[in-house]
Amino acid sequence: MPKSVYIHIPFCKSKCLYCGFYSKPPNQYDVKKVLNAEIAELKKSSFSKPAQTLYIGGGSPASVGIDSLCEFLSKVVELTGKADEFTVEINPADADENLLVNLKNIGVNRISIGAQSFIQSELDFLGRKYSVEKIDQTIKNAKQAGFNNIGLDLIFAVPGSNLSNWRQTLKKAIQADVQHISAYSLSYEKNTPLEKTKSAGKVKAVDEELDRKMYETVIKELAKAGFEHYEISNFAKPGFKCRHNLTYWKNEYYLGIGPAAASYIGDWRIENISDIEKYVEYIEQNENAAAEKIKISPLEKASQTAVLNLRLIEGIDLKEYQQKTDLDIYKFFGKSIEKNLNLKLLQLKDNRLSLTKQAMPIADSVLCDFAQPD
Amino acid sequence: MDIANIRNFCIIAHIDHGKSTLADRLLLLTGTVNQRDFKEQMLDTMDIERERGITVKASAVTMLYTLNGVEYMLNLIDTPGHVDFHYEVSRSMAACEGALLVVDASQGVEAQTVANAYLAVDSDLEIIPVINKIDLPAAQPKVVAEEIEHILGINKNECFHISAKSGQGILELLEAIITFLPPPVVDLTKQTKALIFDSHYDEYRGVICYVRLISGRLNPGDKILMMGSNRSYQVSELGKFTPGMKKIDSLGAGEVGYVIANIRTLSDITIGDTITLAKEPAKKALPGYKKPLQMVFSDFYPGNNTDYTHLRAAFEKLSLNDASFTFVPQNSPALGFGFRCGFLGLLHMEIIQERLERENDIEVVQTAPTVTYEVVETSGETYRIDSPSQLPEKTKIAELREPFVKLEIITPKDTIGNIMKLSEMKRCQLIRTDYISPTRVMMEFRAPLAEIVYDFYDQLKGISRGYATMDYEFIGFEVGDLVKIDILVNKAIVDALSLIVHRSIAEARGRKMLVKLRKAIPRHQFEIPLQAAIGGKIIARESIKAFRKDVTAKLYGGDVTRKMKVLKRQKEGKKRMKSIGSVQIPQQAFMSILDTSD
Repeated sequence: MPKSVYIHIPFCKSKCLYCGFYSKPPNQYDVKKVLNAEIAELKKSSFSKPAQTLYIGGGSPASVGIDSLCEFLSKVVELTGKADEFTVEINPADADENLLVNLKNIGVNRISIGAQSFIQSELDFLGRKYSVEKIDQTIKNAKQAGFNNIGLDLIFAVPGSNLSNWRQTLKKAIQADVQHISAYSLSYEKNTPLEKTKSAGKVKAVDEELDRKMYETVIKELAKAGFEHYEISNFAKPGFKCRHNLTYWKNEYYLGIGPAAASYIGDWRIENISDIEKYVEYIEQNENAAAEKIKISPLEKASQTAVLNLRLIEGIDLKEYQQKTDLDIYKFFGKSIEKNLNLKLLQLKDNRLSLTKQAMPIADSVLCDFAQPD
Repeated sequence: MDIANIRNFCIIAHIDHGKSTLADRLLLLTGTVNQRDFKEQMLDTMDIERERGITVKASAVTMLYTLNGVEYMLNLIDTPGHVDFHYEVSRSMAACEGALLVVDASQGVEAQTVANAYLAVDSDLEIIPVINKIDLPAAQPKVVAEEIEHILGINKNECFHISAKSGQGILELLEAIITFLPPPVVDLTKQTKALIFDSHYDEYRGVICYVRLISGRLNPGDKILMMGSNRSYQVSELGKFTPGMKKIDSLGAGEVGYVIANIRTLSDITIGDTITLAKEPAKKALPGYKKPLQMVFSDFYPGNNTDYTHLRAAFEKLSLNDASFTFVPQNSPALGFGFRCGFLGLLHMEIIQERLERENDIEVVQTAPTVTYEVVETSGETYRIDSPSQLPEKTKIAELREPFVKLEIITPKDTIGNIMKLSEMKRCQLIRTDYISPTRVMMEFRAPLAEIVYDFYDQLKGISRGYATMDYEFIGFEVGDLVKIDILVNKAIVDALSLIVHRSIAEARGRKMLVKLRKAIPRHQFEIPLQAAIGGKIIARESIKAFRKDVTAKLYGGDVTRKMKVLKRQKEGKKRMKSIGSVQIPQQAFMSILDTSD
């Protein structure tokens, strides 16, 4: 039974250029009805109570309004019990002092702020509708509200950016004295406005060399500032790794609630329908909202576990791997392991198989070797 | 039938000049095929022949026609028109007394018209010149008749003007075949002699020999002897092609037909061999044919989803129907187990490759084609090699010889300049230039086969707006200043990429090969040095830069399924390539190196 619960709030006041998540403007929907449907879905889903981790993501959860969100979260907590880690994502554009205080009161103990950049021109380019000052203010408000587990999301390799811009963003993020930082190279997701302008030749991605430099810079700078690099894009102060997200990379079960949310339960990977109206309709008719349900074979599980584990800096715990998958990793990936060890892209230490430092920027070229047996 | 009422003839033409259409028309007019059963290119039975509109295998058909109350038997032997199939053309001619030389009224005399006409003259055939497609708006039958007279020495007034498509002039032509072409020469020797001029393999009946009876008679039940191989068989069936196989009771002197005699595989017979009767054998065999000469060689390795045994079975099956290509097992350190194959020419190679893949549902990795070289060792030993890897140590080589051909090109005169440039680049030496009409010339070159074997024809078409045509004929081996270029990928020699070239162009070619390879090999996790070397000396370098960034930034719960698919594809892409050391080389890289274009 899943110990982690993800709840998707499919609303956002304005869609950012690069965003590939499913979200719609809240004013076009009967938000209450949608949130009620999510509560109904949660009610009939099985998971271990109290949930160990609870993660509210979006969209922008706060875009539905403080009252609606707080009412919703209270109902959620009634169902899940008090989670050890209870995260809510915050878009600075939708955040104020009140919101953070209220979240704290409901029992939220971790917030993840979608800051993205401390360079105004980059925020503007990405379609983020707030100022750098608003980020500072949001962090301040969170701290004042009593949050001592704050995460920041950052994006690098924004077109037009350079290394000194990125250093500036990192400096400000470090100064903000938060516990967790996720740093993502900007990706061009299919069917996003950003990807379309890039295909049309109107926007040029930063070149590979700079992208790599920026990635190496964040690894170095955050290490200096006392953050532990624990996943390809994630960094945490000691004791503050995101436990919810670790569920994904350790390939453990999780429950996803809401339109477009994904679950992994009992070796089934399930994805809810990406359509708010249909989602509500299904739930109201007491049907499940799955649009896709895939049974994961033992071999696929072995692949997925390897790929996901390797995203962690600690890599694959080979003993645990054997126990979990009941498969001998060398039997299916022996050639790939040997090849990548020879190329010094993988390393074997203390019965753990992990990416080397130089493999990090080209991790997919190694991970793909584990996507299916040799 | 009285031998005086038999006519054996073939149709020869440049590709696309309407040979098969004319054959179709004759079949219709003689009532051999009725309108209802008719389909285009009746005589081309392979899919590939119909699709490409070319004839690959020779075939034979018997037609009956009554003129002035006398019934005649007309045996038409269809021949391929492409330069690669000279061998089959000359084979067919040996079974004929006459030839229809078909020339397109809008295109005029082309290189293969000339080559085929010369072959016909050499075979002592009576030639009827035929100008086809006279109903086309661009037809210039008068100009074409002049060309025929000028270049082939045939009286322009003897030309028949026809349209095989509409049927215009066909009746006159048909009657001319009877009145103008001679009947078979009567060989008065009593012993039976039959020339095997072609064969094909039938799954149920075994080998079917196409024969022309020179003397005597064949009957079912006869014990026959193959004079060349000294094997004997018993005739189980005789027949004619009409154009389907039709059983008959007996084949007489001068006639053309087929013999089935429980022969298991094509390799049991030799095309050009003489069939005689075991109980009363002929004293001397017919002159026969030279063995086909494979001039172009290429390695075939099993590709994806194909294994070696599968590939071997496919080659064996194909060789049942085409005795003119060879295949021998080959082991490449880089590519593993495969076959070294020899072909008559490039089109022949292409056709075999296509038939392999199409008829057997297999995939092959093919290396760039090369020609045969002749090695003279310091010990005096002389032998031929068909792969650069067979070249002995440098110190052992006294001489290295390469094959030369007589190359004939017919082209509009305003393209002469371009053709001269191309021929210089390809080490061709101009022997002579003949004006075949005020606007067109025939140029003859001595050319190294290696230079024209690969993309010469494409380039020729390009620089002549598609007008130039060519034909070539092997003339012999000549000493050349030849060197072997080795290609090193990530510091290791990849044998399948080695190449023998003339020293004068070795450096330029080496550089070009590396540029092509750099484009064909995808970037890896590390930098890959590419080097071209001659005898250990590096003559060119390139490198494939490592990719620097390839990592998915976000991978959370909702991304797993989609991302796994992407990674799976990435791995499959790697698998499709040949692994050489830690470098993955895609299949097209092995072919791309010979592409000399920029």
